[in-house]
Formats: sequence, C-alpha cells, structure tokens
Amino acid sequence: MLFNSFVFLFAFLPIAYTVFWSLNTANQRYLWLAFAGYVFYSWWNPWFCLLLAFSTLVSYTAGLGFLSVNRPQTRWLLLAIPITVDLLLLGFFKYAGFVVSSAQALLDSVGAEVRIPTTILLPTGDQLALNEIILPVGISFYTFHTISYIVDSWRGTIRPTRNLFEFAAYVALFPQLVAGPIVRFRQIERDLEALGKADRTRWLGVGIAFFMVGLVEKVLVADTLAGFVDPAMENHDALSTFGAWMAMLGYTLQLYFDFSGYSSMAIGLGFMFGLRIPINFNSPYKAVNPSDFWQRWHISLSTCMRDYIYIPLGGNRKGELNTLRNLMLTMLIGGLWHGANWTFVVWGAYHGLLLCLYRWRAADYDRLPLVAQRAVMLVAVVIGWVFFRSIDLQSALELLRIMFIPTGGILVDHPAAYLVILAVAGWWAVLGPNSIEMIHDFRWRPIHSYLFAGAFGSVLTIIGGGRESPFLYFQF
Amino acid sequence: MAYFIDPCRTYCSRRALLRLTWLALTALSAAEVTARLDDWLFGKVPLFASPHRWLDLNLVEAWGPRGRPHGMYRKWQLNSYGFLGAEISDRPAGRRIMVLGASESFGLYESRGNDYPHQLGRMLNGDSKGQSSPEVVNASMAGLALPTMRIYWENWASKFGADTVLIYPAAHFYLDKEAPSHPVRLESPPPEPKRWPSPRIFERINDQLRTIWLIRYVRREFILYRALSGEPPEYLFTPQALPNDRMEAYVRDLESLCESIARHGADPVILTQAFKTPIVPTAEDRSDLQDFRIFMPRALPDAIPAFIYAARDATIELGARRNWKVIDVAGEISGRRELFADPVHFNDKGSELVARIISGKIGDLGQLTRWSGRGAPP
Repeated sequence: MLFNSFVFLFAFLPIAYTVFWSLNTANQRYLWLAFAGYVFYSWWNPWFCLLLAFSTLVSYTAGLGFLSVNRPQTRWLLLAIPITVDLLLLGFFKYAGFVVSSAQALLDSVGAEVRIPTTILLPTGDQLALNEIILPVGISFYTFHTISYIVDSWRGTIRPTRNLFEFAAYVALFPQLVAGPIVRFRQIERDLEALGKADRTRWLGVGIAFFMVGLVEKVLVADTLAGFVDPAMENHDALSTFGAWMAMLGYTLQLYFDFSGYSSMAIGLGFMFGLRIPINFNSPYKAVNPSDFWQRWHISLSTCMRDYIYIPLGGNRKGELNTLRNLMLTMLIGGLWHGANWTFVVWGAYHGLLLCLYRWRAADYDRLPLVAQRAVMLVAVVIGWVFFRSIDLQSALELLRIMFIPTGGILVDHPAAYLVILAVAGWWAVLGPNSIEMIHDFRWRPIHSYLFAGAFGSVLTIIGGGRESPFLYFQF
Repeated sequence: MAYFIDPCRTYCSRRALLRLTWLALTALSAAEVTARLDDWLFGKVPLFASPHRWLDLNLVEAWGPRGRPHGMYRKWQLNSYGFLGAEISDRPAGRRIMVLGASESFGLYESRGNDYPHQLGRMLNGDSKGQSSPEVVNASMAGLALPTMRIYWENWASKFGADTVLIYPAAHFYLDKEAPSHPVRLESPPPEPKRWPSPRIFERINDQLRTIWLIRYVRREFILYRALSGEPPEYLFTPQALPNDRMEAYVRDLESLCESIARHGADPVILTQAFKTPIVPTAEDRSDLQDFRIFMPRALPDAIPAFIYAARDATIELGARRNWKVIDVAGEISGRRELFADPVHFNDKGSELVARIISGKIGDLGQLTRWSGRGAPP
C-alpha cells in the first residue's frame, strides 16, 4: 500500500484516523496504531509481519533486560545478542545472495575451483536460491529503529519502556515503517507518552499541509520526471552527452522529490496522529560542501550513522588519519545499507572520499564564492547518483564516459517540455523553499483550500492514470 | 480549517456549501488540465483531442474493419499499415511471419511492446545467429472474430507477402448471444462517426471505478439480468449441453480462414487458445468466470472453460485432418493462473511463454520453409 494510492487515501487513512481519535486511553491508541501498522505492512506480504513482530519482541525483551540488569557483562550480552539477531535477519534477506555471488566472483578471479552453495534447504524440503530471496519491504528501516532502541537503552540515553503496546506502536508506526525517516525512540518518546493529548485541530491542519506538499513532490514532480528519466536510462548507451546530463539531472531531482515527498508525507501523517516525526531533508541541493550535504540529505540516516558508527569508531578524536578512516568506513557502511550491489558501495566510497577531500582542503575550498561552492557540490552529487542509479558498475562507468566524453546520440523524449519541467523542479530544489520552510509559520487561509484542492485533483488524476511509481527508497 | 472538522458548520452554512462547490470545481479543473498534459507528455495525445478507444485504432473500409494507419491510443501505436508496432515494408526482404488474432494477440494487458508476437520477433531475432531473422508482424485487432478475420485477411493482410500466418482463434466469441458472422460488404466506406469532446478525467474515473468490487458486481449483475431476462433455461449454455452448432461454426470458420491463407500462398499455423482456469474451475475461478460472463451472458461459468477446451481438441483434430501445423499453446499454458491477467488475456509473463513455445515449436530458421499445406510439414 503506497501513500499515493486510492486505498490508502480513501480507506486506510480515514479509518485509521477516525478510530484513533475516538479511542479513550493511551493503551487503546498504541494498540490501534500497532494494528494499523501491521495491516499497512501486510499489504505487501502478510508473512513478513512475523519478521516485524519477531524483531519487535527481541528488542522489547532486550529493553526489559536493561531495566533489571546492572552487571556490565550481562548488559553487554543484552546489547550484542539482539543486535546480532537483527543484523543476521537483515544480512540474510538483503545480502546473502550478494555475499555469495561476490565471494564466488573473487574465487573465480584467483582461479580457485571452489563452488559456494547458492541455495539453502528449507524445512519444507524445497531448495531456495539465495539470489531469489524476497527482500521484506522496509527491513533496513525498522531494523535501524530497533537497533537504535537497543543501543540507546544500553547507553542509558533512554529509559526502555515496559509497555509492549507502546513499543509495538513505535516499531510498526506506519508513517515511517517502510521508508523512514529513521525515528529513534528518544525522538518520539514524549509524544508517545502524551498520545492523544495533542491539539488535534491545529496539528491536523499542519499534518494535511505537510502531506499535501509531500504528495505534490512525489506524484506531480518525481513521478513526472520518472516518466522521462526511466525510458532514457533504459536506453542510456544511446544517449548523447547532453542527453545523458539531461537524464542524470532529472534523476537527481526525481530522487530528491521522491524521497523528500515521502518524508514530508510521513511527517504529515505523524502530525495527524499527534506525533512529531523529525525532518529528513533540508534542501540538500543548496549544500555548499560535502559535510553540509550530509547534514541536509537523509538527515535521520546520517545522524544515525554518526551516532552509532562514526562516533563509536572514534569520530574525530583520534587524530587526522583515524578521522579520515572513520569517515570512509562510515560512508562505506552507509552505501552498503542502501543495497546489496557494488554500485552502492562505490557510491558510499565516493561520498566518503568527498568528505575526506573536503576535510583535507576545507580552508581552500571555503574561499570559493558561495555560488561556485554550490555548483561544484551539485555536480559532485550528480556524479555520485550515476552509481546509485546504475544496475551495475559497468553501466555506471559507461554512463560517466558518455557524460564526460562528447558523444552523439539521442536526447530525452520531448526535450523542450522536459527542460521546462527540469527548470521548474530545479528551481524548487536549488532555490525554492522546502516543505519545512513552506509550512513553518503555517496559518490556514482560504486561498490554501483552493491550492490544495487543485493540487489534490491533479494528484488523483496522475494516480488514477496508473503511471505512478513506488517510492524509490522502498527497495532499501 | 475548523469547519472541516465540525460537520455541522461544514454542511449547515450556505456559504460553506458554496465554497465546497468552488473547491470541487477547482479540483476537477486541475484534474482535467493535468490529465491532458499527462496524456500529451506520455501518451502523445494532442492536448485538445478527444481520444476514443475504438476510433483511434480502427478504420472501417467498405469490406470491413482494419487498423487505422498511424493509429494511437494509450500504449498502442500502429504503423502506417495499421499493424501494431514498427514500420514495415509492404513486401518483406526476408521471411515474414504474420500473426492474426484478437485482443489476446493484440496485447491488452501486456506492457508496451510485450505482446507475444513482438516477443516472438525478438526471440527469433536473438536466435538467428547472424542469419537474417524472420520478421514478425502483428496484424491482430481487438475483437476480431474468425469470419471477420478471413475478410480482413483477404482484403488487406494478404497483401503483405507473409510466408507463414499464425492464427490465434478466440473460441469464446462463439458463446455470445449470436455466433460471429462476417461484416456485410458496403458500397463505400461508412462515414466516420462524429467525435464529441469529453473530459479526459471521465475515462480515468471510469477505469478506477471498475476496480471496485461492488461496482463490478452491480454492473455485472445488471448486464446479465438485461441479457437473460425472460429467456427460458434452455437458452443458457451449460457444460453438459455445450452448443454443438457453435462448435461446428467455429471449426468451419477456422477451416475457411486457413484455406484462404493457403490459397494466397502462405502457410497457416494454428495456435490453440489458452485459458486461465482448468477445465473444471475452482470456486475462486468461478468468481472470475462470472465476471467474464458480461461478454457471453448465455454461458454459465463452467461452460466457458468446457467450450474452450473442447475448441482446443477440435482445433487439433482439424489440423490433423487437413495437415496444417497446430502449436498446442493451450496444452502448456492453460490452467496456469499466474500467466493470465484475465481468463483469456496474458500478462507479460504469459506472453513471454507463448512466444517461447511458438519459437521452440516453429523450429530453427532452416525449418521456416514454405509448406504446401499438403503432406506432412518438414
């Protein structure tokens, strides 16, 4: 079930909202939110709800353990075991095929005549090919939620909850369940405890505003760009240099509006239920340097990586060389988190390299005019997205070759119309306000109803035309 | 904003009612503009055109219908001869395989370019190993029954020098109120009906409404009631009492078409029609079949697969009797629900498998020789 689908907009959301606000106690609301989350998740595959429930119970139990245990060694076990379980689940579903095929490729390259098994025997007696394992939607996200809960409980940053309903509602919270933002328990703890006590009327208005902006970003901008970019990228080796840049600029904007739109919708849905989900994007294409970019792009992920990987590795506290190493490792893991493909690893390494380069030459770089810094940063990000978008390294290198070595070929379809759309979307991303800025001091005025009505009509038309695409970050 | 929360204030105030009306008009206007822009950008439909599912893809000559030259509707784009797909020359440079069929072959549910004739063309192209590969032309048209198909072949499709003609007959047309008959020849082509401008969003709303189970149910029951009201029980086709006259008409029309193809110097190859459900459908299948009955109200749900499976047997028997090659697509695909979008139409996977079966049975290029239609094929 997508946020931009009729069944969500006209059935699931109205029912979830109406029932939620008609309940009286916090526990009833937790139970309802958890139930709604499981119904939402089961729309893709009901069996994967068992995985979600298992992950929830493991983390909840670990939290209870932290409440009653003080011995450091036992607490260490309570930290290590659940995280290992979570990571094993994630590793099996997401990386098993990738690890096996990469290991086999490595063995083949050195001439070793070893065949690594590529199937496993199921309890039913059937063989399951590792590269055919279905990836549960959102597993990377809810695994991060539960791991962050366990680590924060161990560190004492939060007090684990004894209320299973509350915790289940947190893990299965449908606004952020399948594609983020990654919401840490501590960020939402107070709102969960005060569930149902928010100023419903005001928060509904803000929620609808965020949701509508997100719908427009996703359906009208991202999906429209996808209609041009996807056919061009399917035929990328026929593109000219200009065509390749057109396509990649389009993808750059498509990815941003797709993900930012989803995050805005998630924030809006959170507000509707009295929960303040943290912002995830802060105009990342206005960034002036790599460090600035990662404080604006997928903020929930970058802060998690900082708190749970970069800082535990030592951060910038153990000398310059170690800092650079920690940056690279963090970004490599971040890249791998995005997907089981070497393209994501290279993308992560590329951004790690940018961060390291910036750290090394920050003084010189910062002397550039601001416009130049933003332009350099934008071009650098576009180059990174080539790896992100490509299905393999060979395609990525081929596309980069076309982009940088003048090549004849085709352009994107409808080039004139596409360039207009690109210009408008580009202006919005690079110069215009983001959803937070648009809604910051939001006060409802009559003109807003007409704008929203028009936007809603347009969105429903695109959804009804069957051209809408799932959120790009669902695959992670 | 509060008035959206408080229903009484929303509906009781005349001013609020007026505002709601203006909001609805704003939403509808924006929806219409968006639909037109979307169709223009991604469907190549002119902004002010009034698309029509049938008129955009079909042209009626004095002898009957054919594909409209350069016709375009949604994902379907016809070439200058009214055939689905890329341009072809009127005479082939090498071997040409033509596919004649109805919507199952035209490609109703498959994504663009994934109808089985196009997939077959790509497979044969890939198998040719440097030799010139045969060209596959999809000359199918939605709704093309066998009698009309013969007229279409004789007056139009035969002009394009096909060496082999694959026929995918739609036997379920013979379960309709009346058996299919060929169009009456007119003195001149009928005038084009006038197209009335219509809002684009109506079609999108219609498409979405049809996905709602309740609306589908009411529509289906209404159609069946209107078609069967006042008719005696014998009017219905049952699996125990399949209409033999219709089966005979099917075989006769198919034989007549194959003879016409052979007379024009091409080799007819008949494909058996595949069906989504097994011959005895399950309870879940019956629900699908009951929906499908809107196209053939006289047939009870169980009668539909029974007739189609019987038509398969009759097709194989015809091929054996007249020494025409029959590729038993139904034998390998029927009953495999995951390959179908509805009881008779394939999805992308189904079309791919159909293409694969045909490419396997039709053999390598060496076997694509002219068969005389008499004697055993090589």
